[in-house]
Amino acid sequence: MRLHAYVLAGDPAWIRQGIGSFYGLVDRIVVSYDADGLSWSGDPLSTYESLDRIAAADPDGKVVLHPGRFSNPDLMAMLAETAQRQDALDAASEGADWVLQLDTDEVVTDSGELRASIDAAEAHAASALAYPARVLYARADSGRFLETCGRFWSTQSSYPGPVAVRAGTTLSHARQAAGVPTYRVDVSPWNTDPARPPTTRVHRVIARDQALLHLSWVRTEAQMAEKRAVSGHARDRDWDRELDRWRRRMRHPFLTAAGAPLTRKPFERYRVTALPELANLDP
Amino acid sequence: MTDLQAVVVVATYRRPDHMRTCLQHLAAQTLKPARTIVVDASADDLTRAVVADFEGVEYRRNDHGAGTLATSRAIGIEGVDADIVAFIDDDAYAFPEWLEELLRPYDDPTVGAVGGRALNGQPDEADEGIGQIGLLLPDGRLTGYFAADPGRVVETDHMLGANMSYRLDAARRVGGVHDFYPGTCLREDADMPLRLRRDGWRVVFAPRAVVRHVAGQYAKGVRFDSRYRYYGARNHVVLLATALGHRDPIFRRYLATAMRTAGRDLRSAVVALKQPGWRAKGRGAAGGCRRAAIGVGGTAAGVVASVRAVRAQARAS
Repeated sequence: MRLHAYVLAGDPAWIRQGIGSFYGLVDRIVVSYDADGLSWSGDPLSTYESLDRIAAADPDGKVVLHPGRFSNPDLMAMLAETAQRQDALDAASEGADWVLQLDTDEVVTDSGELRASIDAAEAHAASALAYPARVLYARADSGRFLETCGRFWSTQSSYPGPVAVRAGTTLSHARQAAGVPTYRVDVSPWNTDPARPPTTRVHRVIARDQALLHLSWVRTEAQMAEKRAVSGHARDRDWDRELDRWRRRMRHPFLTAAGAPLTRKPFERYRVTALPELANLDP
Repeated sequence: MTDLQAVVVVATYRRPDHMRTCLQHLAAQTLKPARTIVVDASADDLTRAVVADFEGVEYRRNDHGAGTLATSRAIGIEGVDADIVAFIDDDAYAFPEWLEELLRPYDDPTVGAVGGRALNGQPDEADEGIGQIGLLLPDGRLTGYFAADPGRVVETDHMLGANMSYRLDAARRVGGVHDFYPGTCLREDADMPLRLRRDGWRVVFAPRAVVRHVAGQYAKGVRFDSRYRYYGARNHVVLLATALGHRDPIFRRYLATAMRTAGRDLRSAVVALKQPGWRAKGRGAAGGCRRAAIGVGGTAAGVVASVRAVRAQARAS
């Protein structure tokens, strides 16, 4: 089976770790970026820093640059994102059976298990693989992170969209592919994604340590300032409030974790997780 | 075309009209079976008379009556010498290429069992469930979707009894047909595929081996009534215990899944009390409580029955 990947270049945080984690798994990586270096909403992006980092993470020449014009301030950011992802997916689909669609701040922790899950999806004639990601919210201190969790600190998975899709798939919303037969992997035999009903079927179970790590908010102050401007959610969040909370939670990780059972919003419950392998890495 | 010899077994109970149509469709196969055997559990001779109209079709009796479908299957393969045995329900009408397509995947020597599609005449059934046909889920539940058309042969964990086949010698090596599944006989068809899988065989779904499943009337009650649910819960526990063992994590997880399901049913009963109108409140609450009670009762009965079944299995082996 030929496996390709696409990534969107524009966010340099964790790019080396992200691409490095699945580099051995794929034959080609299509890097899609806005040729004018602008975000979907028209703000300047760190595109060329991202491309430099990608080039440094490409010892075998698997990367194919795929520029385009994706900035459109008149369009909802999510629609512009979907258009860019579809363009990248179409390019990555050439000569591929399946295409990985991972963000540059998502790290594959067990590429063997990811590949086995794609093989299982293929064997059952599914066309998309939903694979769990653990969301790391902030770095607490050396080797410890705040991770989103269940009410009583259980592992909670996040699924922004299928991690791998059959070549030629049509995306419906950002990474999501509505109506496509999906093979679903989770860290428990029972669904751990709070965005889905508890009866949601799990087809394969993996260990917690084999889930992806989504390092979306594990960043420096400067990187968070850039994320605020360019994120797909840039205009639908109160960023001053969000960033104040982020700083406070980072300063008081154990207090934040202690409040998990009392927190009503399922995506705002945190636990303290030790990940020493990420301790000395910079985003 | 394959040179494997196949025997077709049809288990029936008091459906002579369906039986006639089923045999007419079997007579029109592009690949003729080596033998066609009808096993009849009815007390009357109506089915025997129907079978007599079809030359070369053998008639066998199962004197144990209703609720012994697996025993009928066992009687069907008794003394049979063939490579493959294919089972089709009396209310399942095979397309002309059914047997030919069912045998095709056996060219791969690692394939121990092959199931096919059963069309129920529901809208969108060809697309629904692609990617999860016939799976044993990690929480112990089974998926169906045997009407789906994935467009190619795919891996599965179990099959639908209305349209399934397996290698006869492999089936005998794993202990032959078990009849631990009384009542509606639910789950008896998943027993052999799960044991074959455990023995290292591949179980696959061949979407071009098609039958039209017209869902004839039940011997007692109707589909999806309380009795159906009770035996579904009971027999599911027995299936997992006998096919996987009491120590298997999937067996234990299923008990937790059954309790979760009962909890959800009870919650739905409580939620129903918020509905407007006393009639809606009463029906919703009673329905939720009834479903929870049936689920828990069936599961508990299944645990007791599974201990007996596992002992019987151990004695037999």
